[in-house]
Amino acid sequence: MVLVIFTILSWLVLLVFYLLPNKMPPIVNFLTYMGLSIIDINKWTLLYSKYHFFQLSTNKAAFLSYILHRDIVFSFILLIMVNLFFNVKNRIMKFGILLISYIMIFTSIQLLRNFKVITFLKWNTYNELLLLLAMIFITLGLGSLFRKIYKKKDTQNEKHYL
Amino acid sequence: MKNIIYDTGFNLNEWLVIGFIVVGFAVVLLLPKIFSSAAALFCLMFGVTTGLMFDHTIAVPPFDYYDVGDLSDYQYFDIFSYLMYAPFGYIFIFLYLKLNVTGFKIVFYIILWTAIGIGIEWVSKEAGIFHYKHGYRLLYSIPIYLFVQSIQLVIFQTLFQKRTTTL
Repeated sequence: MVLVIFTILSWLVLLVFYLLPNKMPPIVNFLTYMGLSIIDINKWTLLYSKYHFFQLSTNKAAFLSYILHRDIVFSFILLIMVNLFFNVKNRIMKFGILLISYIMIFTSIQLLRNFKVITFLKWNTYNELLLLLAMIFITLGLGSLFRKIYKKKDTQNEKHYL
Repeated sequence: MKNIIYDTGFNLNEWLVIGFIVVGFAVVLLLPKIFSSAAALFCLMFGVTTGLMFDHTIAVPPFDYYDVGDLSDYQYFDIFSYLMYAPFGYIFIFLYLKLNVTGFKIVFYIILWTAIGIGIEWVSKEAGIFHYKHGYRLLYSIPIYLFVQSIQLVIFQTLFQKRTTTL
């Protein structure tokens, strides 16, 4: 059941991302996705494999659900968030986008917990909320950084590939 | 999950990782600058991202086909070790452009780089960077290299290259 839910969620976030109007350039989105994945995968593995803060299920369906959450649901919710965030001017709208994304990611984590995909050992909801907040700001930072890099014109060599 | 200790000292496997990173990045710095900043970042980050994705999917329970580094538990040095993938992705795309690899030559180019990848993985295994478990064999990495390199080329062509060739 959990694998079905996360497959549907993955489909949904991928489709929403694809249909999103006025996205950042594909290069910026791809770099942001890679940067986010590098941080997120290391974060997960450090938390459960080095510090043993929580336990991952060894059931294959549950584990694949965790992979779908880690590589698609979580990353693409943040990617949608950063695209929308830089696209709107209104501060209240920006705050709303951050809040909704925060709730969605937290819900996804709670689903993993409810289906016993992850079991908190030395970890709690408060820590998780703080970590998710940090990930939101890291994503905004990465998006902003890669937008600047993309805009920077390389004029030294005309043979540069863009 | 029980932590397996393969090694406790700072020895050959750690030095080999540092060697790969230093030599790899030295080559990257010495090569002519043909990429924009965004393209260079893409080439450097792609190998690191895919390496992390595969290792942290098939090298952890329930699959748990291999361990990286001195312990089966994840270590800070393991994070650092992923930097060794970065120069390979860069040089792979650099030579693809410089040698003007097009058409069916791309198939042989990817096979050649897969052979290089397998060679480096064998050296890494012998040095104690990788520890295979549960029947995993070096040959099982071949399809991973083939797919990852093909995907990197397709994405590079899509994002950065004027489409004069198709994969």
